[in-house]
Amino acid sequence: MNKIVKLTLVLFAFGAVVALLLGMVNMVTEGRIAALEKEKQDNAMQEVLPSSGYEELEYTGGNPNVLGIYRAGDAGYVVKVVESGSQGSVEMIVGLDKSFAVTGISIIKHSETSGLGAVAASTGADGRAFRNQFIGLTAAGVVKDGGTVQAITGATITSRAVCRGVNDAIAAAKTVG
Amino acid sequence: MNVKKQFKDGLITQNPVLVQLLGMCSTLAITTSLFNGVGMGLSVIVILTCCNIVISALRKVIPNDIRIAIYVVVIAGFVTIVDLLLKAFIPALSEALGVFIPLIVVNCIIIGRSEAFAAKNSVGASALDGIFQGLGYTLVLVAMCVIREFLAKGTFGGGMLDVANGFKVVFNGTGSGIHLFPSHYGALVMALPVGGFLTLGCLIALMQHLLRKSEQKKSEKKEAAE
Repeated sequence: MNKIVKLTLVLFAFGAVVALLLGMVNMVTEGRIAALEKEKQDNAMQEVLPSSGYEELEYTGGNPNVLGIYRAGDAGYVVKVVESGSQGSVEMIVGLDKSFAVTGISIIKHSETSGLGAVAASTGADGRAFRNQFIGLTAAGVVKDGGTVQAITGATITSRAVCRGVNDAIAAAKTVG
Repeated sequence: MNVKKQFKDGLITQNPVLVQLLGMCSTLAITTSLFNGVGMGLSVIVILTCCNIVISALRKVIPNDIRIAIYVVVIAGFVTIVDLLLKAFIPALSEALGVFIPLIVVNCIIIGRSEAFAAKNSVGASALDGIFQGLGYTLVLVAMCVIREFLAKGTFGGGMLDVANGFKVVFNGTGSGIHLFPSHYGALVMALPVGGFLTLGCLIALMQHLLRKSEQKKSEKKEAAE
């Protein structure tokens, strides 16, 4: 009996110390990480649809994957969406012109497999080629599903997630436009 | 402390992947380009060494009955702290290695070495064990990456060597690598999980063959001496 109590207490103590450390590190880093993410999102928005300012619009469409819609002056809309990829959520920024055609996409957060799904977000030539396929589209789908987007080799699930994100973004922008 | 033996154990006779068969999951999943192998290998060396040091320092405090639970708590906590610190203070490195860090939490090399080595040895020996076992792991990863990348895409140094913009080494996974033959002749299956199993299987077989051969030689020598 005593042994069980002792073991419980030791395990509890280890858990408590680690939790405390994690909490402290989180407190120190939380602000910086959020600021860096904000900066990344701003850069991504400039990349997909350059504008002098973005005005956040209220979205009432009810699609939980749509995280935010911004009006980019007269140029069109920028939509932030999240989709589930093959390893976790894929967060992306989709730029749309006034006729709801894609002006560019940028993936800001993901946990896809490096070398396969992660190509979608890569700044290398193959990543750019994949993302540029979406420019001008008003509906996206991979070739396998009858669309026009050439999926990333070995990463059809990730490619599909990006297509869904683009479609969700277009649908969401139509509700506010 | 026997540094030479530890070195040989880590890289060859007790190689974590090819002999102990630890950390196969990450080995199969990520070895598709050289950048992945080097990135994951370096991350594991650092974290394995640190975890070994922490576990070894705490080995007298940790009760035997619940040691595994405590290892898991310490390793997961440690990896998460490293992840958060990297994200906040070295975002460029986090961008490059970020995808590997969550994989390390579930990498059984870390818990395997805690259990097999750090729990029984001094802090210094455990630190060395971390470095050498990490090196052994990296070596296998790099070998698998080179083989799979070559067969699948016909490139060498994918993600790390940027030949398009002059010949240079980049460390952000964007380099295209050196094309040794056009990529459409590659056997794509080698980049998929199947190719991972095939390559790993062949490497393990080769390793076992070599180990057995050297053992045979040793016993023959012994017999001849007698």
